[in-house]
Amino acid sequence: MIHGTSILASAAYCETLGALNGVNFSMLFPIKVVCLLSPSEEQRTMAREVLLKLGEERGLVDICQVAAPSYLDRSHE
Amino acid sequence: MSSETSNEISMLTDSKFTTSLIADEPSVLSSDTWCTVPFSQTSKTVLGKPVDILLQLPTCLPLRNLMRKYAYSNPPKAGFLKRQLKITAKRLLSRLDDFWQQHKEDIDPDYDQRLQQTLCASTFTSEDWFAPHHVPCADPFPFQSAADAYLASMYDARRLTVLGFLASTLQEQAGIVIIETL
Repeated sequence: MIHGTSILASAAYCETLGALNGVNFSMLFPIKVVCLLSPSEEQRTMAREVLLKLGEERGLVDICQVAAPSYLDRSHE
Repeated sequence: MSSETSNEISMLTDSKFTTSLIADEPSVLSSDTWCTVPFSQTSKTVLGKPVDILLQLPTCLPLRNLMRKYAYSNPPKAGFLKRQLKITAKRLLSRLDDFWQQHKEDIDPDYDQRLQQTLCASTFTSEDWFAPHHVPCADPFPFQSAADAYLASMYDARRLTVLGFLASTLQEQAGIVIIETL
């Protein structure tokens, strides 16, 4: 869970810099990895919430929804 | 190959990696040919090396899937696949850690301290994340820039992935130790 928490903390840091910090779009990918592969269901759920929030704020909700559905969790099974 | 083309190929890797994880198949971009020939004229940047490692990670998927398939029907074969998966995953983990040790000071010199603090707190909740202008785990050790935060998170993402493969090779009891550090 450590690396997942670290990724979410990095995303939170980038979020505090505003929408035009240059890496917000790039941060979607590491958050997707947490959605897919975190061993903690709670952390996967949280990453999904963060991913969808970022998508809604930036007009990227379609990209984020593709990554977030729970069926992707099968890679973790 | 021009540096622009090199960057475009690098930009493809994130989506190809995600697709590989979803399809349970390695990406064609992870082949030796794709990792070497396009870069024969222009050497890879510092960021190109971790991209290679990222693309190599899904090569563990066929081994993991076959290991699970034969777990009950053919235990000796499953055991062989398990050893192969462990060797492959450990090699990738070693490459990843070597890269990080080499470049950590440039990317995120406070990474270890921040991770240690995360370990101690381990209470990063959705309420923390959604709280405006609040970075619970990073306050005492702020990143130097948004780009550094991204690069550190990409290291975390790779390590999360490869440790997941290693955890799948361990017996249930021993796997708990690995899973707790993911």
